[in-house]
Amino acid sequence: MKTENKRAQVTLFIILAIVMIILIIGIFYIIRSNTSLGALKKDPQNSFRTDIQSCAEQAVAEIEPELEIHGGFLNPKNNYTMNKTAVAYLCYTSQDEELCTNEHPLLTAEMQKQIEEYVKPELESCFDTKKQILSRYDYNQEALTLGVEIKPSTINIKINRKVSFNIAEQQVVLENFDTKINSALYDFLRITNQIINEELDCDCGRESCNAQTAQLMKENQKFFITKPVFTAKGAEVYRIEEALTGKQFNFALRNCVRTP
Amino acid sequence: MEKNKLNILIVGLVLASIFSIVLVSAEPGCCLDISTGFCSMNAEESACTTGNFFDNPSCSNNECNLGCCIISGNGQMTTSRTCELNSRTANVVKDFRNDLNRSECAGISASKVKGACITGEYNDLCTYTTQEDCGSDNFKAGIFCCDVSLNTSCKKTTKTICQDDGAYYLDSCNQICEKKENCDYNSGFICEKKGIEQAHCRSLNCDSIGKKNGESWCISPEEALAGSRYFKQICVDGEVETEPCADFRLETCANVSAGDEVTCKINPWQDCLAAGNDSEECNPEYCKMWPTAAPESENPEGETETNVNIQIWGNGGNIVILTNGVSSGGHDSGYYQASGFIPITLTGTNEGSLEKYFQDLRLATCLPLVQGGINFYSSKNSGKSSTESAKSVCSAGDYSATLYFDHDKGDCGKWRLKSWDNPDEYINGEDVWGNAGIITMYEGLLPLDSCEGNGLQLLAPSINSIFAEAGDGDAAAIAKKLNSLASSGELPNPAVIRILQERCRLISDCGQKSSIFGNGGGSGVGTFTCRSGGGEGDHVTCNFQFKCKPFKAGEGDCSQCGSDGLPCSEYRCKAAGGNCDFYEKGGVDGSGSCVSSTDTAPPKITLKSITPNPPIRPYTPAEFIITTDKNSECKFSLDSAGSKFDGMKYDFGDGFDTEHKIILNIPGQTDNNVLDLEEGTLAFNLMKEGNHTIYVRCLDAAGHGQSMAPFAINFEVMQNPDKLAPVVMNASPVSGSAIKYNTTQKNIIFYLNEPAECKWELNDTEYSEMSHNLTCQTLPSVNAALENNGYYTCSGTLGNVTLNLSSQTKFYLRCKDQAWLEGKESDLYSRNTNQESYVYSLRPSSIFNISQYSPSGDVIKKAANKTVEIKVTTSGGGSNGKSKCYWKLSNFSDFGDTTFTEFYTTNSNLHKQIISDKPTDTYYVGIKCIDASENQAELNFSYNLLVDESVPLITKIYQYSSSLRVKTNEAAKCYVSSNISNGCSFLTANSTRMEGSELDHKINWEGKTYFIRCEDYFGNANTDQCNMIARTYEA
Repeated sequence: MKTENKRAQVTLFIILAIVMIILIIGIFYIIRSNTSLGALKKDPQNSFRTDIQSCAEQAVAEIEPELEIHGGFLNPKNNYTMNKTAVAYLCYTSQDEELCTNEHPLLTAEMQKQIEEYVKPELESCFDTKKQILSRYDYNQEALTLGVEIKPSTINIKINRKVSFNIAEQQVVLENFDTKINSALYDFLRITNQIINEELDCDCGRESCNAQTAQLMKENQKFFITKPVFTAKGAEVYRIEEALTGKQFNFALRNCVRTP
Repeated sequence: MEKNKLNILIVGLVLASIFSIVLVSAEPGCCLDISTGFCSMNAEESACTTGNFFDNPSCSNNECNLGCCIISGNGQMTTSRTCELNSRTANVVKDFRNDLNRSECAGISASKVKGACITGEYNDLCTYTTQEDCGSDNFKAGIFCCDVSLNTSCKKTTKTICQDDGAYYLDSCNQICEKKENCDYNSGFICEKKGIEQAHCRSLNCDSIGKKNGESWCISPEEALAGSRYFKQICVDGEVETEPCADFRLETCANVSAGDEVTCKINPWQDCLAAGNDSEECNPEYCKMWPTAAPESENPEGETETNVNIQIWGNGGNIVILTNGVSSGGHDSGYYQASGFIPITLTGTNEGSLEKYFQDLRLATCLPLVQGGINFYSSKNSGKSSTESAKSVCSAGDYSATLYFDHDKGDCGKWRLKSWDNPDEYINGEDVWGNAGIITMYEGLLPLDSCEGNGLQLLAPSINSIFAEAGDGDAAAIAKKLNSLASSGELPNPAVIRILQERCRLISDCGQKSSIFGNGGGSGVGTFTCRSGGGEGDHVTCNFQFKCKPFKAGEGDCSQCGSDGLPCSEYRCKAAGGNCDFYEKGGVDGSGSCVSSTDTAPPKITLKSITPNPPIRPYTPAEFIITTDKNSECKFSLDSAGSKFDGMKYDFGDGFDTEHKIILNIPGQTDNNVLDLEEGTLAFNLMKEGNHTIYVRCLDAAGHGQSMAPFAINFEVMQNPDKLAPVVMNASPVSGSAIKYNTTQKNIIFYLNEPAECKWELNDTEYSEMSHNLTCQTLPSVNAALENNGYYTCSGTLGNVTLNLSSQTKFYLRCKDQAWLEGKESDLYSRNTNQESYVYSLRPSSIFNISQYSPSGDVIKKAANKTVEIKVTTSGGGSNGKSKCYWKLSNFSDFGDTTFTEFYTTNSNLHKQIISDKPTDTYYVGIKCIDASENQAELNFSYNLLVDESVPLITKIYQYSSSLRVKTNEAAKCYVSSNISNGCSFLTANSTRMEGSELDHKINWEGKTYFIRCEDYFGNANTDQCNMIARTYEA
């Protein structure tokens, strides 16, 4: 009788152990797939908003340095190749002894547009992920509108999309996901504009056309301004480097090229 | 008709308007980006789609005027629009000041005083902010929250961060505490993050050359030689950046103002040449009239006599005119000749006669202060053939003059000098000297006579005497004598040639100017020829021609271009040698490379260093540096050379250079594992330990080297440092085994995962304290490892095993690897010793024996199958009888030569073997059994093999109760049939089996006739005969 009891106990323990293992594995998978769902249930508004903002910030973090090293364009058409990297000519003339033409006077807007075009599909993808997670919670979303503004010290991402879902017994309606990302891009563009104007503020043929980099550095003490490339054919590359972070903005120009 | 005309007029006007608009639109203007306020000069209207476009390329319109925009106390030069937008963003009122210049604006920086803003019930909360932003009355200006006197909850930590102009400590409230270092930018410092949550001041200055950050200076050539160039250098972040001014000395370098900034400045040197001899057009900012009398104070001797001996000195830049009393012995002209001055002696008495001399010779020329360069070469890069233009420039230094002499009859009866402007007039010494100066002017014969053309008398006596002694009709003789003097170099005056040569080289890269590399040179040569005849009377005409020719580079060392650390250019390259070709992207930092056109050899590669020396330790970055004999770009492949440069996988260094460096990390290379360590250095990871070869090919700027034989760099990567102690993987016999009965020791083999030295002890102790050594494989060996399934062995005898059957003896084993490191251990490579023992146990065996066997006695078999099975049971020993047994069989009791054969079924305690097809006989069986503990037992036995060939017999038949019963003489199966028609020939399958399988058999008695047949178990039976027929009869 005693032996039978012992056997029964062992069997019970084995069954319990198996059940527990199954439960642990199940919980693990549930947690894995529903981490964000859990966070959403806890603080639906902030969690959703933060995720979307992070998504936008990540996308900007990816595109910004690419634009900066290429002179403001992901794939610059008219470019100078520096160390296997295409750098956009922002001011160019094919002629010698002639001032260059400022090819991108609205560079800020052009860059804003490129950032927007890069960020938008990334955001859509992030919203889609949310939609998938919240598919059982009456999730609805309207059209996405996106705006990018390059401002002093920041890149402002204006994200507008009305989304709604019912979770944790509450109706959540969100619309605005604007975020600001710290960036020196505005200063890069401002200094670039100054350099090009100084190059052009020149009587080509009678004056040497160069930007006063030393003076510009005095006025913009957080930046180093150098000219790492100058070729026999007149191409020049200016480099603006944020001293603290080492982030760089390169652009090329061909201006007032002198020939004997 | 009138209406049609009107229509045509309107259409014409519209077209004209459109055309004019198109024309206007094509003109660049100023584009104001209204979203930022940035104004872009020289922009096209088509590119200014959403901006405001002004027909003003220089953006001098009000909207684009810059002013000082002050936001949060910091000034920045912006447009009014930018200021407005940024102020709005910062949520402050626009403060835009037009009256401040750039420097004043840059000087405005935030100066709002911050301090500790103390709050909280116990005054222990604190925020470091401005008083304006502090919501509390308890504000301590200029004091940090971490100040101990405040006793707030914000305590100073060791963390530091960069803020404003310094590195600051952080407090426990994560705000700046006291300043650690003052990183004043104007003093050349900047705050920099260092590590995690640490900051420090870093110098931005170029301390090694004593230049401050942002300071710029000029690198100017000492002389405007061919190939020379002006450079601007600037100190940026501790590095010297070089910015070349326009090549061909089209720009010079000069200070912007009194400050420490320089700039490239245009050098309109060709304007000087264009001015010719017009001193008013000769802009003194860039040009000078040449020759020029130097100010008296600049005269080497500081002397002022003007009336005895006149010397003209050319020192490369200026012509210094000395008036000196040579006749009185006051001036040592030899001294100046040695210093490179050119003396020309002219004797005269009239003050100002020297200017007159130059004027009459028409030597006065406007020359550049800094001569520009010319395309003295044919440029394949620019596609221009510039030789002609170079000749044209240098031709400004050409000179020609004609002297006319005649002996007209009816006049003074003397030879006379005629005007060069108008051969009908004569040169009179009192008026002008004319071209006579190219021969020599000598005023020692004054006073002159009154004949027209008496300028002839100013010629040096040696020349003058030729004419003075000649009469009418001697023209041919005079011309001959003059030509003879020209041949001997006396004519024209050598000093004139030198002056013209000097002027030639002061024009551009002309004349006898060499390059900055001391290479080549141009020429300026003069020819002087006289001829007689022509016209009425006797005539002699002398022509002097001087040709100023461009610089011509000889063969030179092309590698000199750029060797001074300054960027090479085509102009500089060509000045280095006529054999040099320039490749724009073939130089260091993309500044171009200068390669000799005769050099078609691939770059010669030399291994400079491998650091550290191979064999290279794993996890240690290894730096490989190679050098090439010329600027080249290099690539490499690992362990595979390929056939061409283009097929090689990785860049060896970055771009063109003569020194190339890579850093390899070991081990583990993947394509994605390329790290940027520093600019110009790539780091790769190597794949694995062992011997490797890096194959390198390099291309020079001209592309030589594509298929060159690869340069191989062999090196060895050490194996990974073994940080793991050896592991005993197995043992033979396995732990817990029994040893042979009544013994106390056993030879054991231990199998290890690596070669090692091992010891054992009966108690658990340190390796060093163990006293029993084992014999081990201590060196890596492929064979050794293969022999034992990849394991290394240690073997030896373990003793003192207990004889107590109820217990076992434990042995403690420890090992130490890498015996080859003994005495050579380092921090990285050291021997590893087991810190825990491998426990191995042995136990004693009981007596081992063969406890059962079969067959024995008679073994009866049927003739068709005389198979006999030998069975043996073993017991005891080390494994409860489990053992391997062997048998031998013979019909002789001594077995003869028979040997043992392993039982078909064995390795347990029951062993079986079938013996078949033996004839009937007595057989002797020998058995030997051995267990794992080497216990052995042997046994011999015998059996008689017999054959049963008789059918079973029914020995008794009777009825008992309701059954018919029979007895057989041997074990058998009996069958019954009652089918009368078949009788005894029935088939057993159609019959009834009687119960019983031995000797007794029965079946129900039903009163029938029973045909009974029996078959023994050897198959012996009647087939058509009954063993017995039982019938029932009426009693």
